Amino acid sequence: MIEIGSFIKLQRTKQEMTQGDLAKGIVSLSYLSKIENLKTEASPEIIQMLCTRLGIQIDNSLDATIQEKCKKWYSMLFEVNDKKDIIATYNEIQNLMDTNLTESLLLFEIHKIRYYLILGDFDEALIKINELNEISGTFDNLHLFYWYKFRGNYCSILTDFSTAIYFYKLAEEKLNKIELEEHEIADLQYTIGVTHSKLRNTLEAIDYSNRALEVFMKQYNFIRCAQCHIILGISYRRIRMYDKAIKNLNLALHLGQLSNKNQIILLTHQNLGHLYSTKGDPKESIKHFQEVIQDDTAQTIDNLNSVAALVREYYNIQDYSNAWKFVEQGRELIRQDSDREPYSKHYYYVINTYNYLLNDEFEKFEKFVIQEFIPYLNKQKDFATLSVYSELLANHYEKFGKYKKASKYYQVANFAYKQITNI
Amino acid sequence: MKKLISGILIGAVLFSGYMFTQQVDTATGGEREPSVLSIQQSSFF
Repeated sequence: MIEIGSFIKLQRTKQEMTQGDLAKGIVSLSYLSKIENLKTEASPEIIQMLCTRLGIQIDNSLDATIQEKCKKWYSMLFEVNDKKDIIATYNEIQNLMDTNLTESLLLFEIHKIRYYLILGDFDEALIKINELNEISGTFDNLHLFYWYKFRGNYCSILTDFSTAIYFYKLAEEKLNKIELEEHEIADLQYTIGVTHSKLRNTLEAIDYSNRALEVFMKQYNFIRCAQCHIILGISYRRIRMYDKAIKNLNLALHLGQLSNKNQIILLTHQNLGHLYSTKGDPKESIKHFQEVIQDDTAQTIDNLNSVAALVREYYNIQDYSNAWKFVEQGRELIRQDSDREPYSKHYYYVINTYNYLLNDEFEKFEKFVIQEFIPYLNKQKDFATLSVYSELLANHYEKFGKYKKASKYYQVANFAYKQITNI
Repeated sequence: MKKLISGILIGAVLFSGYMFTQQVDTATGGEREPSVLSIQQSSFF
């Protein structure tokens, strides 16, 4: 049963009403505060008066209908759906919530965090988190499960993966205290798998992705299976089990094609491209990155990632004319990306670094990498990229006989590897 | 000359240590995980 005090507080703050506005002529300010914070149980007459002032009917006859609509909406937040449908269903439920006291209210409010994240409205998601934080002390185990999970989602979006995993673990601890459908548990396991992969906890990433995969396979959910296979592909590559990595990524590719999901196909090509690059097969690597840039449906992030990879591959095999071609393409993509997405910055540094190298502008290259790129990577804690570019700089110094500087940047690369491998 | 030799030696020591740790992973920025939100937003939204 929903705690009436939490409900009143939620509705009052939503309507931007002060405690004074609501309490006036009904109860004292301190008594309203006690009601809202569940320190006392008010009489039904007082609750009635407060709800009337808030414009809410104390009528739970629509409870079952609201619950059913909510259930439908929640599932829309976990599968591929049209944005318009998600918003329309949200508005429909919100109208019902505003005029009815229902048990579904808190869960609905908590799911709004996920809703705002899916819409890309991160500020609104944070406002909702702060608003709910005040009443989180009244949450039951089911509420807490979603509360932790969506807070973790928020941290994941902000790329704060350590805090994200902290929240996901709290959500996981709630699993044995609540009853959830199998696919909901699998979704959390998938989420934990992705986050461990981001944190480079490879064995954990494999474990959780396999657990999620098992459920998604049983349900023939090809898209979710493909996502798990991608995580497995990335993880096996990191421990150099290339055959298993290729097998998983090929399965992801196949499932993406089967479900006609270009996003999956493009993501898999990028990971296959990266795999062959680290395996020392530039020809095969280039083939996969080319697949991405030749696809009209690829998003800017896909194109930038692939173009930057192609620059690197062509530069490494000393095919400088092709490296040049993709530097130009990358610069054009960054120019076009008027929104200046945070990820653009990363590719701006990569493309510019190779631009200076290809132009033989070595002084500019050194200055740019030392003064801009390396500090940026340190700030982002992107140690994988840091190791690559500090090595590139060290190799450059070594080539010109500047051994002291070379050793300094090999040391930076070494430090970056230690961060990745937690030595 | 002495300085140059010691420079080379420091470089060699550091490089071999670096090569040793490099065996663990040679990752670059090209790797990309799917989203935790599962929904691939922009293709549909």
